[in-house]
Amino acid sequence: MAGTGRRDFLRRAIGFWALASVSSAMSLIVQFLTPRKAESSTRETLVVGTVGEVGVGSTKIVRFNKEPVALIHTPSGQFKAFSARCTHLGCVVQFQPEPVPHFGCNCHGSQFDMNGRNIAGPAPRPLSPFRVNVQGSSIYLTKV
Amino acid sequence: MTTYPWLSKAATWCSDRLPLDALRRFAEGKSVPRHKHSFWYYFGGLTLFFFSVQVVSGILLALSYEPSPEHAYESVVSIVNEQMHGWFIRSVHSWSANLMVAMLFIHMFSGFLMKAYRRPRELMWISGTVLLLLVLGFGFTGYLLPWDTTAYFATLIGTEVPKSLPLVGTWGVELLKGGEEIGGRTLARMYSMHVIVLPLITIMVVSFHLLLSQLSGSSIPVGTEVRKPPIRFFPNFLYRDFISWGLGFIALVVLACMLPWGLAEKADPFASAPPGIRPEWYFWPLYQTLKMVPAQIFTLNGEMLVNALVGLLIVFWLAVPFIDRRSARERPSPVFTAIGLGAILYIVITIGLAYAG
Repeated sequence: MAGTGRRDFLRRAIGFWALASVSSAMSLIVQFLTPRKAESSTRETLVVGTVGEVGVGSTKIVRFNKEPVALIHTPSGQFKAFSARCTHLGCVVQFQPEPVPHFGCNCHGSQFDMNGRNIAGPAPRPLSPFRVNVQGSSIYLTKV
Repeated sequence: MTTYPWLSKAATWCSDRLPLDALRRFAEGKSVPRHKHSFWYYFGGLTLFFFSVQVVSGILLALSYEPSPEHAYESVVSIVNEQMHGWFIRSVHSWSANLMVAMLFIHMFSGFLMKAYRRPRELMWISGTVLLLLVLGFGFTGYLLPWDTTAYFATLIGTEVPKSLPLVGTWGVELLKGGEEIGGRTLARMYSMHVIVLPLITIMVVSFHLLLSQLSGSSIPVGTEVRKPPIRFFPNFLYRDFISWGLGFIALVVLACMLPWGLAEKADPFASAPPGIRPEWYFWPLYQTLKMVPAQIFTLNGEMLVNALVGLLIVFWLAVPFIDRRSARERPSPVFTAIGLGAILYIVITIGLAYAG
């Protein structure tokens, strides 16, 4: 019986060792593959262009850090900006002048009005707004 | 007797060292039943055939493809425009992927409707379902590789969908993408999955599936009258399999030549998604469902609901042999026939709707 006890102990010890080894290896692999959070090299306020680049009544997709932003120059001469990422699944929206000016997402058909509000399709939220400051001819964007 | 004595010597040399006689006896002893539904037996072989084409054409493409955002698109353009027969090999790879999925769907649904999953073939059904998921994984990971606009946005959508899963969603997606954005790491991961991880797993599961099919043989549908004697698997059924592979090959070559696979503009993460963007047709049921489901259903997030539904469907599909008790007792099970036909109808309708835009 003493022999059986020793064998049983060895069997359990080998099982435990195998389990610990596999778990450690799996943990190491998952940690290796999990991307580290990039150290923030993003800026809160950025110059994204000049007034002359966006004609009155037109829009332009500009780059704000890693995010595409829809910059709008309204017919009344104001500037507005919204994230150009559709709030449904992240595709970049497109300005569509007809039948009324709006932003449409070609991926699943969501639509946003010129104030960024979701008006049709599966998008669950409005487009995130940006604050626009015009200093001289430069356009500054700040994430709200 | 032999025209080539060296061939006879080589065969003897091999059979002295390998159990070739036992294998031949096994193959000769195996038979395939003949009845009014026997036609559907050929689709498993056709799926395997197109998978083999995928392996060969994929290896050829991998020898010239450069998996980095800077060079991926240009390398595909170079394969297509500059390399001898490059357009043909890429077209064959893309078309055979689509034909493989189509054959797999036919094979799976014919198996489902014939209740081929019933005892003792439960493991064949489970391994087959795992193969379906692996093949869809191949489609998804391979789609980004050309690094064109369509590929970029299709991958963006595909990786955003599971984000709504509670607890592991965002982490899992970032693990898959190698970061928050789709970039070089994403391409590297998709490429490694496509050419190393998935093929290794698939070859193991395919081998298991084939081994089981050899051991258990072909299933005869419940209540089907078998009047004709079965045919021998080797060589009779295998000859017929070869004929179907030949027809598949002709279809593949015709499609690859007449409708060569296209390439959109190079991916630009800051450009608007182009009109008419859609994933591959076999993801259209999911794509169309996502399009139809509202953002909020009562208090639930629409995407999360679709995710949960897909998860439940996979679990259900895997568990079918254990739920369908009537088939297990060799009795007709009209409920499961209706489920299978309903699933086919849903797939056809959503594909039609997605095609119509």
